[in-house]
Amino acid sequence: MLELNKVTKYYKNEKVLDEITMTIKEGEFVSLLGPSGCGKSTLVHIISGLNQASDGEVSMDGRKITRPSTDRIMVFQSNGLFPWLTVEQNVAFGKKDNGNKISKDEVKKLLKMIRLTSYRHKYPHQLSGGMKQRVSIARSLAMDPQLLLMDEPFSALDEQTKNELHDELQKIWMETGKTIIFVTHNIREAVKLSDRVLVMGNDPGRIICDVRISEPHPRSHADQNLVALESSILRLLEKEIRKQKEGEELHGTLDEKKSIFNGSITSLARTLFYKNMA
Amino acid sequence: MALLLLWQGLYFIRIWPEFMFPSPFMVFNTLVNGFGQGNYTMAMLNSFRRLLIGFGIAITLGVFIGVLMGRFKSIDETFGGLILSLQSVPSVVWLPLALLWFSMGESAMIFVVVIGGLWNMIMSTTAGIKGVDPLLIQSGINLGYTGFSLFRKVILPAAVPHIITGVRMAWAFCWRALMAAEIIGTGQGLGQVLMWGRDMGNMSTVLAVMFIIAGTGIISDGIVFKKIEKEVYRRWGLLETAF
Ligand SMILES: Nc1ncnc2c1ncn2[C@@H]1O[C@H](COP(=O)(O)OP(=O)(O)OP(=O)(O)O)[C@@H](O)[C@H]1O
Ligand SMILES: [Mg+2]
Repeated sequence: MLELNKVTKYYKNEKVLDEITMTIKEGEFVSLLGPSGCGKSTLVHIISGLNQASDGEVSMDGRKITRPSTDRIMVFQSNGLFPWLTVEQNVAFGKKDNGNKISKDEVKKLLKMIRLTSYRHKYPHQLSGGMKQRVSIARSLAMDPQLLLMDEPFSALDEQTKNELHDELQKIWMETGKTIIFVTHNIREAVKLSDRVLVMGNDPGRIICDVRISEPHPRSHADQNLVALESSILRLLEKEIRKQKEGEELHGTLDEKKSIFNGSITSLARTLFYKNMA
Repeated sequence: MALLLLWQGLYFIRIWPEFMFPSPFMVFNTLVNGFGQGNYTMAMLNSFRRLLIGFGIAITLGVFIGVLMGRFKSIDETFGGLILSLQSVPSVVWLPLALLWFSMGESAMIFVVVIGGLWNMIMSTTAGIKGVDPLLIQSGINLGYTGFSLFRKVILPAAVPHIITGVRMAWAFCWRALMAAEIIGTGQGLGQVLMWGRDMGNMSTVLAVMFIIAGTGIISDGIVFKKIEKEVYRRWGLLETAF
């Protein structure tokens, strides 16, 4: 279980994250959705330990997170693969905190999972963007982390590749049962993949809404219920952006711990719309 | 080819006397004879030995110092400016000093070759280390690497393209430094044969040696080093942006 307690981050004097509090259960697929610059990357970097909070704390299973660990692995938008290593060597690169190397069998299994076995001796520059991202995911899974942090992993990909990778990621998630925090500013992506969408607002970055989606997995991007939900989240975000433009304060931000949505998605969408547009 | 014809043409017009302006054939003959009698081969071997020793020291030392400067800001701030200014000093200038330090002409010449390639090698390595994509470093840390293993497995390999470019430039600089040193200094290298030709008033020897010097430079750079560099850039996925 991952817990954030009043995590606040300043860059110089500018507050980019404001008292973020949330709890993420083991095995949950949670999306962080929000406009550009609202602090999504900063937040996942803090959770990974690659960046530090100015205030508040992050803990996993009761232990405070202060530095990077192979228990929490990041997948970056521009993949971060090592260009001088082959696909296979990239997947096998990691060194677990407990000193264990990644076994040959493990690498083989992962390459099969991402369907790149025949590409194992190729170098990253010989792969397409989607393939690179798959290798990056396999390299992260090889560490057998408790938590996978994905920072806009698919946003540089074309629509079709993105959809393929969505299906693949859903499958991987269902097979491995990993906890995943998935950053995106694509509403459709967030709604399609997650159990929970945390909608973030800007200036300072904070969570404005916690949406639970109980639709069973795997989901398809054509699902009508999802489409309805998508548009209501869009309206919420638009309001947030408009608010920001007008520079006025939205009074009474929602308590993110008190999840307002449960039950079927359609009613959920309606509730969402009602609660926020009223 | 056109240049050769022009040369032959100029030779026929005889603006300059023959001993000052030999025909391409005479130079070619001199080349064949020179290699046939083993003079040029010996001279080349002598020059190459100095070059390889000096070049080897220059890149080893250069990478070592460059890495230190790239990793430790204080070292970089202390010596960075100095190295930049030293680089603008032609390396032959060091020869008199080197001759005083090492009583042997041979070591002095190798010293000049080392100086010729060193500064550039240091600067390329430093730039390479400092320019490593932070994302790769973050990935390395996240995948369980720290300290020296992070450096050896991530930072150094990531800096290889820069270092290779440095090596290629160092080779060219060492070669130039060696020729300059040989022309002034003593010993049995290409530079000395060139000077001997001048002293004897033998223009075809001078030109023949110039051909060897230029040819060696072009072949080693164009065929060996450029190929290696290109292969590295391709592998590192930088080819589209660099070539
Ligand atoms: N190293 C830094 N130094 C100073 N300010 C920073 C730094 N990193 C991020 N910021 C600022 O913090 C805010 C949040 O940045 P962050 O990258 O977390 O946003 P994001 O939500 O991930 O945006 P995007 O969707 O564009 O990736 C931005 O206003 C950004 O300018
Ligand atoms: Mg970001």
